[in-house]
Amino acid sequence: MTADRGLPSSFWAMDGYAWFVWPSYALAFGVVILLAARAWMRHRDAQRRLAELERDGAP
Amino acid sequence: MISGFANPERFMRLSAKLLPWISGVAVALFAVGLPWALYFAPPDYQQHDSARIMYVHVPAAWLAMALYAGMAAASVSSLVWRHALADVAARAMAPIGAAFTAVCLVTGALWGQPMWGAWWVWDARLTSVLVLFFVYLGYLALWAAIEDETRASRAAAILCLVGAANLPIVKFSVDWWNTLHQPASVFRADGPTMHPSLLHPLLVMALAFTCAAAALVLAEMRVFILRRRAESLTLRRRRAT
Repeated sequence: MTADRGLPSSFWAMDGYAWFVWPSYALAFGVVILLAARAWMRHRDAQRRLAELERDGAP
Repeated sequence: MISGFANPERFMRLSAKLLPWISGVAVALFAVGLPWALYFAPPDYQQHDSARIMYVHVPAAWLAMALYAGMAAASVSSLVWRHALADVAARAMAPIGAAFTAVCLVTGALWGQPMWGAWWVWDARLTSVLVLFFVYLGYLALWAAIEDETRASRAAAILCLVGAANLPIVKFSVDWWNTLHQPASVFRADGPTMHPSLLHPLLVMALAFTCAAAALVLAEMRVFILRRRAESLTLRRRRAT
């Protein structure tokens, strides 16, 4: 067991299941991050569009 | 009481306050749950470290079903009581539920390969979850295909309620048929069968994913309400000119 930035190499190897464990976590968190980024961008665009419409119609 | 929250104005005010808190709680729970799941929780005595996939696979599966149940409840509310926010809520939950169902299917395949020796088997649990994913896609396609929002909302609500028949099949498939997938080990009448050292990090991760999903649904609902406001403003302008 050699130390790799404080974590033992066995941690990264996941007992030989690294090719299954790490992609699972990458996918799950990648999807949550993508959904959050998508929601944030859509929210910002919708707010901007509404603000533009309200500004254009202001007397 | 629920009809009070169905007011879009009130919802926008409340959700603006709730969103940062729910997102913050989700991040804090992930900060605790992730090292617990990946490092501090012991490996399973039979499946070793491959069992750590459980901490993302199981919450994704629970959310896939919970979000669909939420969509079905919102669809009933939309069809029967015509709550102003019901169809918005159902529509907002659909892409998030579909994404969690996809995560559940793919992480299940990644867990199945080393344990069962196969990425996929036509087992009742796996097949019923695949059907759930297709129902989600059909629901989203229906919203995209019908331009008139009132008609789209009604058609999507009916499709959602028809698809809800699949939920008990997903839940009880492991009891009704002989499946390769293991039976329920947390939500059981006689209590969880998992050891607390594995159960506790699972519950923390499930709560973290649930808070993240709640924040995503609220944000998505706000987008639809803002868009509706913009559309009605544009229509009013067109009528005035």
